[in-house]
Amino acid sequence: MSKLLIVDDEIDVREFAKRFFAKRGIEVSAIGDGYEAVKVILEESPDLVLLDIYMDGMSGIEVLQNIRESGSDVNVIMVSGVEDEEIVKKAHSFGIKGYIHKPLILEELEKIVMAELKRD
Amino acid sequence: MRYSFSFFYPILAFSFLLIAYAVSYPKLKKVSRVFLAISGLFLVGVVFVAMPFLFVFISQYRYEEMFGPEDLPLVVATGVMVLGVFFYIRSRHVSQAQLLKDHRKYQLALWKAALGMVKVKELSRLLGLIVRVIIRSVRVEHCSIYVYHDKAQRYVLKASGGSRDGNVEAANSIFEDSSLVEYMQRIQRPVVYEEVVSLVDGGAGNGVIGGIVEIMDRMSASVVLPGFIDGRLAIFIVLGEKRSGKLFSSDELMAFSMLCNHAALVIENVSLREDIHNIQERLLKAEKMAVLGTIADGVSHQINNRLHSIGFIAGDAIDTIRMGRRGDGSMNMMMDKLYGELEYALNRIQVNVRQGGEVLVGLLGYSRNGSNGFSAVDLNRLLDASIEMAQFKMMDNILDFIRKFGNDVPKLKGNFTQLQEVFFNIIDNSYEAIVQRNREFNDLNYRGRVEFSFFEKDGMGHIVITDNGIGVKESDIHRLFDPFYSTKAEQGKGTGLGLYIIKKIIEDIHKGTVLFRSEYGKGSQVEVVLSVIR
Repeated sequence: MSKLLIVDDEIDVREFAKRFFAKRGIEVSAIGDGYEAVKVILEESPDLVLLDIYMDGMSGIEVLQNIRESGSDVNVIMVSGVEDEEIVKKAHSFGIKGYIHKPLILEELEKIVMAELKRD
Repeated sequence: MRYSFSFFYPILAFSFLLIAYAVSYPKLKKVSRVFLAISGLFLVGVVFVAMPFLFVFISQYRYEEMFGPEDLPLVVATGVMVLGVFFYIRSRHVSQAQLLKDHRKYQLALWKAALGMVKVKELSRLLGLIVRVIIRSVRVEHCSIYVYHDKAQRYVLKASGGSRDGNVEAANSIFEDSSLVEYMQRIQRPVVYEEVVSLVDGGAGNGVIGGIVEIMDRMSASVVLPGFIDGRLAIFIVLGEKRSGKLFSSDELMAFSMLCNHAALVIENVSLREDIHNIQERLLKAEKMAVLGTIADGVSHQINNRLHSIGFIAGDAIDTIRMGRRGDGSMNMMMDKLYGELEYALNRIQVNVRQGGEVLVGLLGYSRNGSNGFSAVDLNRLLDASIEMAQFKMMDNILDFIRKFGNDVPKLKGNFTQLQEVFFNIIDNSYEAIVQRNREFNDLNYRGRVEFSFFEKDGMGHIVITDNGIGVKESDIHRLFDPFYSTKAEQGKGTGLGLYIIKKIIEDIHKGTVLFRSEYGKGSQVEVVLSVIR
C-alpha cells in the first residue's frame, strides 16, 4: 500500500484530502506543522509528500531543505498559493517532482498523485 | 554824484552765470546740495542787485542822480532775468518732485505687487494678478505674460489682459518666433519698440531686427520686458502703449525690469511648488498602492486558501456521492435524483472555485503553468459570456448590443476567464454610463447602445467597444485607470476597480494594449488590443 503524506496547515485540506485518498486504498497521513513533518518524513519515508509552502512556523521550503540535508530523497510535490519565482527556483534546487498551484480541484490532484504513485 | 549804468553789466553777467548754472544743475547728483547752492547764489544775486539801492540809501544819493531814465530798460531786463532764473529753478524743482512722486507711486505699486506675488500660491492666479497690477499702475493698453514651457520648449502665453484690439498675436498661445527671444537674451534688457524701429531706420539693415519690428507690430507691443533667472530667459512680459500715449522713461523701464526678474523668480518658485505638490500626490498614491498591493497580496492569498479548502471539501463530497450512486444499485430513483442534484451543485461549487482562482491570478498578475493558461479564444463566445455575466445586474431593457462583425473573426490568444472579466467590466461601465446619461439628460429619444467592432492590424486584433453613455470629462480621464478611482455617483455601485483590473490583465498578462477615448455628453470608447492566432 502506498504511503502518502499531506503537509498543509489548513484543517479542511488535510481532512478531506485524507478521506479522498483513503477511499482509493492509499495510506494517508496528514500533518499541519513543519517541524513534525520533518520528523515523520525522516522516520516513515512516505512514497509521496504533498508539501504546502506557506505555513506558519516552518515553511514548506524549510521542511524540504531540512529533509534533503538529512539525506532523504523522498518524492515531494510542492503546493503553493502564491507564485514566487525565487521560491520556485529554490524548491527545484532541492529536487522536487513537481509544483502545483492552489486552488486545485481534487480530481486534478488525484490524477497527479496516482500518476506519481504508480511510477514506484 | 551819478554812478553810470555800467554797474549793471556785472549784474547782467552774473545773471547769465546763474542761468548757465540752472541749466546745468540736472547733471548734479545731490538735489539738496543743488538747492543749497542755488539759494546761496540767489542770495548773492539779490545782494548784488540790492547793493545799488542800499548804496543810495546809505549815501543819501537820490535815485535820479544814480540812475537815468535810459537805465530803466536795463533794470527791468536784469530784474526779469533774475526772477526768470528763479522761476526756472523753481519749476525744475517742482517737476523733479512730481517725478519723485510718480516714482514713489510706482515703487509702492510694485512693492505691493511683489508682496502680493509672494502670497499667491497658485500659478494662474499669480500671473493674472501681475497682469492686473501692471495694467492698473502703469496704465497700459494691454499686457501679456509668456512663460517658458519645458516640455514644449517654447514660450507659452499664460496670462493676458487689457484691450484686445490689434492684440492679435496674443491669441496665439505659443510663441513660435525665436528672433525676439534671442535678441532679448543678447541685449539683456527691455526691448523698446521705438528703439528697434530707429535701429532699422538707422540702417541696421539686417533682416532680423526688421523681423522683430514686425512681431512687435503684430503684438501691438510697445515694450517687451525680459525676466531672467540665472541668465536664461524664463519669462517675458509684453506691454502695450501707455494710455496717456507717453513713452516709457528709462527709470520706468529699469523698475519694470526689476519687477520682471522678480516675477520670473516668483513664477518659477510657484510652478516648482506645484510640481512638488504633484509629485507628493503621486508619491502618496504610489505608497497607498504599495500598501494596498501588500494587503491585496495577503488578502488574496487568504482567499485563495479558502477556495482551495472549499474545493477539496466539495471534491471529496462529490467523490463520496459518486461512489454511493455507483455502489450496490440499492438506491431508489428519488434518492438517486436527489444525490444527482447534490452532485451537480457541488460541481458548480468547484467551477466557481476554479474561476475564483483565475480572478485572483488576474488580480495579482502572476502566471500559472507557464503558458498563462492561454488558449485560442473565440471572440463571439467571449462576448456572449461577458454579456451574460452583465445581464444579471442590468435592469430593464435600456440598451442594445450591436455586433459589427460576423463569425469570420480570427481567434485571439488569451485566457478566456480573464478576458471574460475584462469585457464584463467594460460592458458594465458602459451600462452605468448609459444609466447616468438617462438620468441627467432626460432625452426621450435616447436609446442606450453598446457597439462591438473588430479590426486586425499588424498581427494584432483590435476589439472596439463604443457606447453612447454620458462619457467622461477630460479632467477625469487620466485618473480612470487608478485602482480606486470611480466616477460612479452612488457609493457601493461597484468598487471602481474595473479599469485597473482591465489594464493589468490586458497589459501585464496578455501583453496587449488598452486605449480609452471619451467625450463628455457623447460617449466613450474602449479599444482592447490582443494577439491574434492564425
